[in-house]
Amino acid sequence: MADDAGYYSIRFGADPVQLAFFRAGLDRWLQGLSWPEEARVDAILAVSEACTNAVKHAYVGGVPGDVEVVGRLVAGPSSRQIVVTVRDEGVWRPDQGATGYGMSVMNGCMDRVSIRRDDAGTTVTLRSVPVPLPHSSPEGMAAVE
Amino acid sequence: MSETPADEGGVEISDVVRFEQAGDGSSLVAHVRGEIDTLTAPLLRTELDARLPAAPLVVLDLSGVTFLGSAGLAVLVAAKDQVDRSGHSLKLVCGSRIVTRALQATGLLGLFDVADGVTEALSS
Repeated sequence: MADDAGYYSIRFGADPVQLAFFRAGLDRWLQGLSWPEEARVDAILAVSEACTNAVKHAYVGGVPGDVEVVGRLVAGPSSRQIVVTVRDEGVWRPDQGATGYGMSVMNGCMDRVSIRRDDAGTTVTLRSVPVPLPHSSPEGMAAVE
Repeated sequence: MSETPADEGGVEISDVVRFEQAGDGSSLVAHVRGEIDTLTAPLLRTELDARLPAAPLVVLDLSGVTFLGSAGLAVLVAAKDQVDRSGHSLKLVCGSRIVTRALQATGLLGLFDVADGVTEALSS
């Protein structure tokens, strides 16, 4: 996949109102990649939680900043995955009520989740479970609905 | 019902939940809809807190829910706790894959009595 369909990037203000728009955009990207529905639902649930954490916790009492999300398609010989990073520049608040469910959603829906915190902020990296390569037919693009 | 104007983000109660009495008035069906996330969950929580205690049987119909985030999951668990404490019962109608998946991934699905539809939830 050399075209830019394999790359997704958005930056949005750390405001809960933005999350629904963000999810719609992520869904469009995954639909464009013909991502299977089950894996698409999992990715939306998990990435949304990472963004929700960034929006909710990272800027409490501070200056509202941006959340930056970058998604990449990683295609192997027999399967493909997406790797999504969610980055904020706030101060991580470890203990804030319902975050337990957020982590469970991320871990339950993704192959791997890692969180890195440093002075610059927090980066959550989510790697999806592998999904099959898109079905290639002899008719090529003509077969795409 | 109290007249609460548009909450933050312009979300109205009717965008999130609509209540319906069922049976001889002993059952309450809450039709939840839209995206239940950190923005809308507090509104849903307030509404459920106010309406749930009176009904011996509560059916949470989530078939109109298009997204269920951790804040929404927390509301469902709180509703379940509230109903359990008063010795009443609560049934969940999940509907979409995204709702079932969110409950499944967090291991919460097993906490709930799940029905295939509202009619079934009310009749069993």
